[in-house]
Amino acid sequence: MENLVTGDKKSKLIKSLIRSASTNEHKLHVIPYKGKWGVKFEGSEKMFRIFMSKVSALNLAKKKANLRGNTMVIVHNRDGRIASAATYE
Amino acid sequence: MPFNSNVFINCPFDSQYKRLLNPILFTCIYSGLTPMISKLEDSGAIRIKQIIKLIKESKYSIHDLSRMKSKKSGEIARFNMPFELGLDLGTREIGLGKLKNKRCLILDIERYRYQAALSDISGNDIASYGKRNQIEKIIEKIRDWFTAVLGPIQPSSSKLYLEYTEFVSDLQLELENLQFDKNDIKNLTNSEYIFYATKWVKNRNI
Repeated sequence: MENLVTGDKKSKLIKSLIRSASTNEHKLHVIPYKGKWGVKFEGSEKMFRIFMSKVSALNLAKKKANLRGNTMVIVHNRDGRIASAATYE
Repeated sequence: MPFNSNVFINCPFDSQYKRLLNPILFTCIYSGLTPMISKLEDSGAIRIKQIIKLIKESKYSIHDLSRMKSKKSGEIARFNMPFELGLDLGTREIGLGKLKNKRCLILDIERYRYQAALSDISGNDIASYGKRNQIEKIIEKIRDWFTAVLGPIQPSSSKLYLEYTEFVSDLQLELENLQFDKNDIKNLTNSEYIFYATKWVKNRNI
């Protein structure tokens, strides 16, 4: 398969990826965790709260994001991809 | 490439397995190792020769035997993985010098399933990652193996998993910002994935 990441796109991507490797306190993650669902602040080494359901975890993440303002809530899938990402002002 | 930091990855390369291959690659990179994958090499070369070259150049290796059993009736099981495991074990047994120091981790979904098909390696300890929470489990099994072969001070498996999830989101969001669609992201090659994971880990600041 042809390399999809070429030229300008590649160098832009590397720069922005390096920047995003720095932790960003304006991101909250909702993550499948040991059969349950956890809410985690970016860069933290442990879960902020753990819930039995994804809905409960997402509700808390949205609430926290609204309180903080300008915070992105990233919801992860069990397959290791992002299901959704939305910013709360 | 330095023998002592190379890890040969012997696992399925289909899209279904990518959800497990990516965390395997990330865990190796995060722990300071360089993943060696046969598909990264020149496609004009004879595949078996590439594989033997990678095995000889890698002190460590990770073998996943989970595809030894077909999933449905009529489907042919895959024997590349046990074959390459045999080559790796043979290299350690017959090889000289540094090859005697090779170390491998054998993974499967169930711990003792392999014995029915591959009884010659009965007695070898196989790490099983089960059928649930596989991404977390596979990271945990590799991390635990690293404590034995690299040294006891390794990041916790929880930390590795959480770091992995942050890398996944950073990479996906940055790719989407550059108008990559879902298929483009899904079809990133292993060499691209290794390249970006290495860049990200190097610049991680926690």
